[in-house]
Amino acid sequence: MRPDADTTSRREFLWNLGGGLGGIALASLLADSGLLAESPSSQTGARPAGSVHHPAQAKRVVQFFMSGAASQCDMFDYKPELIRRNGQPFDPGEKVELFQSNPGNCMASPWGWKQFGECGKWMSDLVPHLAGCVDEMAFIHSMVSKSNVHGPATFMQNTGFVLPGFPSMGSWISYGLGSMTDNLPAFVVLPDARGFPPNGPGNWSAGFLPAAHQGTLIKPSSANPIADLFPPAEAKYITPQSETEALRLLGELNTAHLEGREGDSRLEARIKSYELAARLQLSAPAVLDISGETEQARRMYGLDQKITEDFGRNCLIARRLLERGVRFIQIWSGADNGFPRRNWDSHEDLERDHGVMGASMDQPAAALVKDLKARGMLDDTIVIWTTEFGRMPCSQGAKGRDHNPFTFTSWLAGGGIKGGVTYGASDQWSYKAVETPTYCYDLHATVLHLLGIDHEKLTLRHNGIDRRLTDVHGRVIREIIA
Amino acid sequence: MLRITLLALLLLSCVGMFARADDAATFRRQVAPVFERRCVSCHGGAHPKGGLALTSKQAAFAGGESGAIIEPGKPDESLLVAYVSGEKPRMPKDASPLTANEVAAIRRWIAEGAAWPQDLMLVDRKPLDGNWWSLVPLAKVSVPRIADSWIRTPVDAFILAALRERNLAPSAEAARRTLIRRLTYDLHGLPPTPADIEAFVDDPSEDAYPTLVDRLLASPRYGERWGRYWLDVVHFGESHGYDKDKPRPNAWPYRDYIIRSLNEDKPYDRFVEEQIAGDVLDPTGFQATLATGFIAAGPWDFVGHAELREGTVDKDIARSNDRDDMVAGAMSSFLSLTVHCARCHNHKFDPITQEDYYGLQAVFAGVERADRPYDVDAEVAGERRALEASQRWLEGLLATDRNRAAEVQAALRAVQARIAALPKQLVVYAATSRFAQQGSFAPPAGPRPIYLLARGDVRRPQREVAPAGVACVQGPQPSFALADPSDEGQRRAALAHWLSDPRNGLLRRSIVNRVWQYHFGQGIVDTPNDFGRMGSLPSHPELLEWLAGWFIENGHSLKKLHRLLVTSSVYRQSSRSNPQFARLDSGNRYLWRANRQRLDAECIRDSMLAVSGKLDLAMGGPSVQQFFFKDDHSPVYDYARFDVDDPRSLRRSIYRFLVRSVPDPFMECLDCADPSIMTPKRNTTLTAIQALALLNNPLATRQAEHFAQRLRTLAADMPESIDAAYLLALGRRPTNREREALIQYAERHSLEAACRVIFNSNEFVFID
Repeated sequence: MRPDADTTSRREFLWNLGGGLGGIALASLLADSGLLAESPSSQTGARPAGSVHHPAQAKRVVQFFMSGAASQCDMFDYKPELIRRNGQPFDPGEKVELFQSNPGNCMASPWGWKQFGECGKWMSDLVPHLAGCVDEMAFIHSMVSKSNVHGPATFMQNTGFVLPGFPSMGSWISYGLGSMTDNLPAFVVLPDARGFPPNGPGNWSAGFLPAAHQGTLIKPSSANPIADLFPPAEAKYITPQSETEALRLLGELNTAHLEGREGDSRLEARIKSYELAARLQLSAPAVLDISGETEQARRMYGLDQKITEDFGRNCLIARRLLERGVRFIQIWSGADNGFPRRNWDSHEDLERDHGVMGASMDQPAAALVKDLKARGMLDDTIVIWTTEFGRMPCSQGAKGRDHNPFTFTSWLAGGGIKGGVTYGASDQWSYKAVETPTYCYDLHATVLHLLGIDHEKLTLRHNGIDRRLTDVHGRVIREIIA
Repeated sequence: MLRITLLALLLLSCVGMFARADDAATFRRQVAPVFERRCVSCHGGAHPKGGLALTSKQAAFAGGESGAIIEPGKPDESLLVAYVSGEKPRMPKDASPLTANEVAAIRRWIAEGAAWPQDLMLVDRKPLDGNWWSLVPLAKVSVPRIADSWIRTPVDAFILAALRERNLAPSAEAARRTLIRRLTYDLHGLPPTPADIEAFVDDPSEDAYPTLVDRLLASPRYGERWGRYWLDVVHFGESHGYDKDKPRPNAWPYRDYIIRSLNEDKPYDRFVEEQIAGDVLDPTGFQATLATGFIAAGPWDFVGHAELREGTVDKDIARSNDRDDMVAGAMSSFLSLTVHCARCHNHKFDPITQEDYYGLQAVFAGVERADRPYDVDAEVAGERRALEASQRWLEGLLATDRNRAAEVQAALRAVQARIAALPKQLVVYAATSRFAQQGSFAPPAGPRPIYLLARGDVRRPQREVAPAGVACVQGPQPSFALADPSDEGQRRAALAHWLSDPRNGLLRRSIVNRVWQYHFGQGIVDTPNDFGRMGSLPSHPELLEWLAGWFIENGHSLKKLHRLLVTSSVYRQSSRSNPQFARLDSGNRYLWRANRQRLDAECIRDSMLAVSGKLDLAMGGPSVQQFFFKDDHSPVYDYARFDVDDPRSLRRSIYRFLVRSVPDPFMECLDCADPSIMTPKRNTTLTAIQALALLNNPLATRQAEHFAQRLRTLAADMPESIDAAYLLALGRRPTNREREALIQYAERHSLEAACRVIFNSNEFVFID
């Protein structure tokens, strides 16, 4: 939003966006009050004192979350031994306790492997576009989870706890660093267009932190991308004019109400919240309107192909949100556990189901990394790619893979991360982490560190315990920091 | 005969074990306890002091920064002995030295070869302050003797004494119009009607106010308002949570039990007992069985319990997490104790050991959360119990005595037929040891053994722990004398009686503080779920003691307690601030004025419905699903696909169906409690998303329309409509300026739009 924006066309644009009637009314209201002239990146977000502990290397985060457990050994964790032993009995020399099945034979990835980049990283043919970014990425091949069940494990990657009710990483970061803009929420979640992941919005809950820090849901592919942003179409009595005057009248009533109630800052805070709401009504449609994006950008994100369209739109919108000062964005690939498969939980047919998920994710995710780099934003934006756990190198049935909490891969890029490196390792099968087993605590500690936060100091007392994102664990992984 | 032989063999093998372990006896009996009580709190954990950990053989013999500390066979050359003995021992640091006997035991142990069994891990057992204010028996407190006409109740005397000490003074009494609005929201969660307001304001009698209090307490709206608080505390939800978040269609009877108990003014000690073990204490009265919905209120890992295979580590983890939630729920709700902090190690701050914690897990070791059938008719229930006992007996007989098989089978068939002929049972989601198997989720044969787990890790069981109360709570006897520990019901009954024991002062302190908090906006102890060392200290310690004692003397009657508090002068003060006092006590901790309160999510929603005339006051029954629901492998809950004109929208908010994974976004943004966590006090936020919800949520915009339609039936013209709108929504007439502004606005646009503005005003959501 530029201060010199053409007001007339802007109004038409807002109006035409469908939910635009509140927007246009507010545009005029704000123009009157001079609020429109303020830059969107004005640093007015409240932040708790002392939450920044050292100079930050990054100020924004975008996290890809592969729901359902994406296979490390079909994308990033190259194991020649597994290819060699394809079809032979899987015998890692100990009892193997799996989620659903008894271990089948060794199953090589149905995708081929090649080396990429200056670092020579092996990547599978399932992720050809991400393969072009390897020199930006730091791979952690020794991720482990405390649970092999989707619900608890997904909570763990998000909140550090296998139980419901804890604040997610985005909420902690919003709580710790505050917002970089008054026009948009600090923490935005873009779910898979097909639905919520296991645990639903519990994954981006603020838990016991104030509700303001919960992830704000944006569904770009839906008719109402943000709930209640504008009045429902059925409420015909609300018109652009009535809306402008309503807010003015509300302001008058609330100001009169302050009289005799001095000293209660909540009353003024609530008046202010209506001003912030008006700003959101203006900025949100603008950020979601991608009509101004070039044809080249649309192709890069895969908006021209059915398989990549939804995830690509989310990635493109994520970039636009990041540009406008959103602090933390979570983009989900994969919905709930159900049939036919709509996430990465490929128990039955890995090639078929990972094939679809990989193709839908690979190009758009890579596009976001490259686009951020081209715009000079990758330097201070951390990109995280993760999932709740991995998949077994042996087969389930003939063609599937069961859960593997013992090793999986996450990668990071940008914002102070060293590119082209690999940290930790799994065994010869990609069955168990053998070198520097790494929990989400370490990944979370590292991300907080890059944002200038000491993970042991960002705490909130709840039910008798000083709670942290990293519980009583966490080690900053210096090896992957530039 | 066979049994005796087995027992003898077992005994023999035990003797053999002890004989082999005998060389470590000195260590086990005399040295390990000293290390655990005096050393491990520093020399243990993630960062042991001086690099020395005394938690395992390996760590202890590895030594620390000063090198090896134990030279087996040579006490005089062992650094350990040098550190703890002598004139001024260097260890334990900044604490009393070890006793001569303790030092001698360590010397002897080293001299004997310093045997330390490989698998024996030591844990921190440092004794903490057992005389913490909340853990001691209730003190007899006398009411401060102050003569002042402001004092109406003993509560006022305590408050006034504390105010005077700090050079503060109470504020003037609030206007009647303010009082009735405050009181009605406080006790009912709804606005007073214009007729009620006018009647009270004009009531010339001396006891107009106490009469109003009694009328409000007698209304069933009271149980609905205060029941919601209790449901927050116990994290009541109606779906399991986690992945594949299945609904619990039979959880609602517990909610109705809470509302009914409050409305009937059930004595609080009985209320507590029933929620832990009502089914055991009153086996024929079905109401008490519904109460055990308390134990089942929290989340449940469906996949972990029903899909994981028996005997896997993850299954054990799921079960351990489930017990943990039951323990944390019971101790936080009833005692404001953070016992759950002692799961992985002894409590860091309070005198609660891992032993205590696992003793409580053992209380719940024989129950699961599941649908439990029950009979409404006590006679039928009794008959069913007798018949089922016969059935079990006959089944046992059939298995052991083949000679009379035909005879027994016939009897069994007869009994089964009589069971089948009994009236159909109803179902409540509650704690139960008997339920229909679902996947790998099966009723336990009896209480499962509970072990103390090193670091809370199910793979590191240390020793079996018996069911017990918490030792640090002074008064009731923590060890349970159970006639038959294999009867899980006895375990819960023992805990219920331990909690309700008249000597358990903590139980009473906890509840009177909660009630105080909801009336005054802030607890006497501001951490209502933590009365331990990391919690707040009471602002008025003597008042809290006095209230707890008064509560017992008054039969644990919550209604009497409400009456005592709301009839006080301190409750009736104006909420207006005062710059001088605000400088002295900005948080109003000493209550020199009333605290203005923002209405919670339920009150805001219910008030819109009440004001629009659409509120459906029907009580109880299955919860209303205000969302589109599709049952599936992973069920779908969609609030956007729900018609706000559906009659289900119009019920009071306490009857909403509460989904854990997908909460109602409208309620959530208004700081509604998350049923996955215990919420002793809600956050109050004021956000842009909240403003948008109140402006644009279809429920809000629709109720503004109903409000306008109602006004048209009440008023002849626009000025009258605006007056009526103010009386209904804000409890007063508008000022001339307000009236003019709203008339002008409504005439230019619509009365609906004006009603929407009123719903969004600060005055609508803040109560003076």
